[in-house]
Amino acid sequence: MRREFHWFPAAVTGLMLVYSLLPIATFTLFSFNPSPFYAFPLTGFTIGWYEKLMADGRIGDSLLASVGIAAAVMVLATVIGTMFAFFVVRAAVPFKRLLAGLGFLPLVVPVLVLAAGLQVTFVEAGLPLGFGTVILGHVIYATPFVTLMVMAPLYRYNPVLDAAARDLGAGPFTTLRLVTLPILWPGIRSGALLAFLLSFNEWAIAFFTGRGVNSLPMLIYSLQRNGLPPTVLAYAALSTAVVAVAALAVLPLLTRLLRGPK
Amino acid sequence: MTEIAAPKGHALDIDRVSKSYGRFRAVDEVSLTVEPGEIVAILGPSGSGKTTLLGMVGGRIAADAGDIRIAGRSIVGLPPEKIDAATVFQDYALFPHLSVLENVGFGLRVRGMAKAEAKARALEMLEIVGLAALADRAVAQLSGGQRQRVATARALAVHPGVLLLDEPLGALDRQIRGRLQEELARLLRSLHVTALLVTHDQEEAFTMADRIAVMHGGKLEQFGPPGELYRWPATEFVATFLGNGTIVEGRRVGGDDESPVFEVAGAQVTARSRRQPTATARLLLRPEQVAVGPAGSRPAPTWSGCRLAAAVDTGSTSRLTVDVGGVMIEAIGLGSPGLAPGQAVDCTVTSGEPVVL
Repeated sequence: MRREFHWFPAAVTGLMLVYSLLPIATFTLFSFNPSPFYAFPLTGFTIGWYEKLMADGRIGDSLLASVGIAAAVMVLATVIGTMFAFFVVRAAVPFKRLLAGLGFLPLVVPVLVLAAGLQVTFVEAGLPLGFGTVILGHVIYATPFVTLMVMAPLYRYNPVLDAAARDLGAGPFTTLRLVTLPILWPGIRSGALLAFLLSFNEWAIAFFTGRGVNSLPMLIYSLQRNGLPPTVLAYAALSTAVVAVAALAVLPLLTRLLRGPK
Repeated sequence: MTEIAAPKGHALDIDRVSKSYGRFRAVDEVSLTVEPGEIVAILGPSGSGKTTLLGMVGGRIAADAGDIRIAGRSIVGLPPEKIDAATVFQDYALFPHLSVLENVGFGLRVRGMAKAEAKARALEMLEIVGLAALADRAVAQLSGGQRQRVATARALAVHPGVLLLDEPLGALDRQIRGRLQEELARLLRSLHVTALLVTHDQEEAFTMADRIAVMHGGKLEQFGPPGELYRWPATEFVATFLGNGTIVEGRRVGGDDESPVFEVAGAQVTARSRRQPTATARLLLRPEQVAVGPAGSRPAPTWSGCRLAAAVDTGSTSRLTVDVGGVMIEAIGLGSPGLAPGQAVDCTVTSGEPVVL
């Protein structure tokens, strides 16, 4: 099929690209600039800031901490979020809408407020603030996103497929394992990746509930307290590249998910 | 078509089964039996309870009362996976994430058959339904008719004691449907499958089934061979649901109880009755029981001096409507009617064929 060129969507797309790429381009540009002052014209080209970043031992530790937290959050939020999606779509209980709405609250509460609230709660509950509380906080924050991702294919899911599997001799658990979950898998996978990224990039909850937890966002925050050193820009450029690669892996899945099968 | 040694299907007994949803009685004390290797169709309009009945045999719906037995063993209360029955679902319910071959092998795999053996058996089933060439295709790439055959192969692969078919051809075009009806029936007979088929399509039931159970409002109206249902319906619902015809009022004037004689529109008509006829009764006249000719052309017409009210020439047959003293009676003839509306005609009713309802 021949597609016509329409100038309006093209213009909007162009504007969006400029809008979203401009800050990224700017800090990437300055991360290669020898001068520590952010002003044009650029004074040359250097990878010195990257070398300095790599030389800083804290980066490696922070990366490890962030990946560890994000991995744990991904697993927990995916399991809980998927189960919550089943509740929202399939459960027949009174006040379901209210209960579902409460579950989605972390989506609408400002993250700072959520973080502060979590800190108070954890302290009152007597939980020592650390990796455990950060993971718990991130799970609360990321779970509703997973749920949204799984709800889309679950609403489209034809329950007769489950009936067919049972009819052919599969028990309830086998049916879930061989039919239901594989068919929902694109949604679950997108939700898991999203949960990983949300946790990996999150600062406020880590700041409020993670005493002594030096995740990457926390490290940047502490680095820029005395002005913004170009090493932070170098880090930003690197992590954007990593996240962009990860996102490119997720995006096709998301598109397929929103369009539905075929 | 390849012959394979498959165990013969089991007998199915449905014994006074009922199911209510709130105050609505979806299935009301229905009893019927399917002999091993027999194809029985449950025919009825939507809402007649036929799909609910099928769901109870498959274990998807719990019966409120009554018993269902497969090969003499009660299956009431068993989960679907423990019941020796397999279903061809209305929209096929093929697994979209599996290939054609994996779909057909699914039941064997979950029953613990080794991968290689399940694959071989699945391929064998696909050969039987003529789709071996499409084994590696994705389900989404198949046409409606091909999906139907994959669904049939998937259900048959587990060698079910009873095969349940829920409107198996309902989603297909009219032309394919007619061909597949005969093909499917031939396949089921060659494999000696016991089959219970739910349909609202009279032609499908008549083409495929050995016996037909007509359901209406949750009740079993009549259960018998197709020809009997058509020619000797037990209730007025069966008479009007299956085929055309006219129902006329008659007044008993003689004859014995099995072949009573009624006066209908001023003439005597010999009917047949299942029970002691009352003084007045409603009689069913099928169109082919009424022969129509120009006035004076028949030796002893039942009604003479009638008027032809309408004639529709459909090519192979002509549908006639005759005005018999104000009573409109349907008739059918082969080929062109040879009569014009408004013309005076005589009618002859085949003696002993009209049915007392």
